[in-house]
Amino acid sequence: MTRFFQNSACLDSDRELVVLVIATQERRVEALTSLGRHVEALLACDDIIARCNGKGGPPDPSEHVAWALSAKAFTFAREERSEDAAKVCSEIIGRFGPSSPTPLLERAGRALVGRAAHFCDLGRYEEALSDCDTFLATYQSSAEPWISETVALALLTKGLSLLEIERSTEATDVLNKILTCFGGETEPPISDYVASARDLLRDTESE
Amino acid sequence: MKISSDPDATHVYDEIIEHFGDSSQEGLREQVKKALLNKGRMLMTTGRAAEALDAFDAVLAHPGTSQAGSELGAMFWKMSVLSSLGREHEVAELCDKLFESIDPTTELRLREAGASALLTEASILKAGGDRIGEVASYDTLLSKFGLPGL
Repeated sequence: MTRFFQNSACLDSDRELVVLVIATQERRVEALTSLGRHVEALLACDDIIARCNGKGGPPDPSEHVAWALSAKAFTFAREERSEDAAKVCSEIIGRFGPSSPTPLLERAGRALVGRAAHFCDLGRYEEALSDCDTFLATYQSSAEPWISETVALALLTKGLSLLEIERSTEATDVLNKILTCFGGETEPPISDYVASARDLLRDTESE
Repeated sequence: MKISSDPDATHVYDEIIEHFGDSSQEGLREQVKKALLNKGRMLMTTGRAAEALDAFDAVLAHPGTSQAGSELGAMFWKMSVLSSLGREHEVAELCDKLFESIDPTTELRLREAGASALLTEASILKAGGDRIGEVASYDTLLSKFGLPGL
């Protein structure tokens, strides 16, 4: 909390005021989302993006835009609006990619796997598979800390999609890979993905 | 304004306070308040929180006829000291008072300080589980700055 006081001591321009306003909106989005006030959260995300795109925006607009788009995708997903969530993920993927600096790279990578999950919800399994494969081919070798949980989610989404299009043998291989690579994980969300993979394998074997 | 951490600076501030502390002239009283504010900030940076609070309270004890920056500054820096001491309830109360004192004519630096104070209040409400109150703090901040789209 003392950070706010320290920050404010050096604020001396309109641009820094814009930064403060955007930071406020970002906190507001988090609070609104936690309260289930999704419409207001989405409007606030749009406001952040507009401020970043406008004249006199913050010095690092891309990070704020990526944050707001990710928050929009998350909010649409909470509202079970998979089509809209997938569209926003596409926007993130279109704007940022593997050559972006780390924070944006993470947003793009997570958006790719997020879009795969939304495609899966929409029954667009081939597109989901394509996104999972793209992510695994592009990002899997990276040592960034966020990669592991996203790889586990990509494998789970891929396994689920393969099951849905009745490619059971390949699905079993992918789901077993989750157990091999992450079976010892005890922390969520990876432990949750491992449990889901186990359940799917059990269901497949009993059929 | 940079505040000197030189202990000798305290003597200069004390001298101003001693010589002109009882003056009825508005201009001199404002200079005394500035000395008290700077003394408080210097005490704050050297870890003498209780004495810093006394200095800020002395500024606030005699409000000026105009909306003076030193009073807003005293509120702001007092909040900082209270926050560092974990006296969050008092921070929240002072935050409301500080923000009420700010209007569009207030200089940018102090408006930003007020905005930061509201963010602090929001953090306190969030930590206490009051997410609705937290959102209200953000709304107040954004509306106070006359931002469109809200």
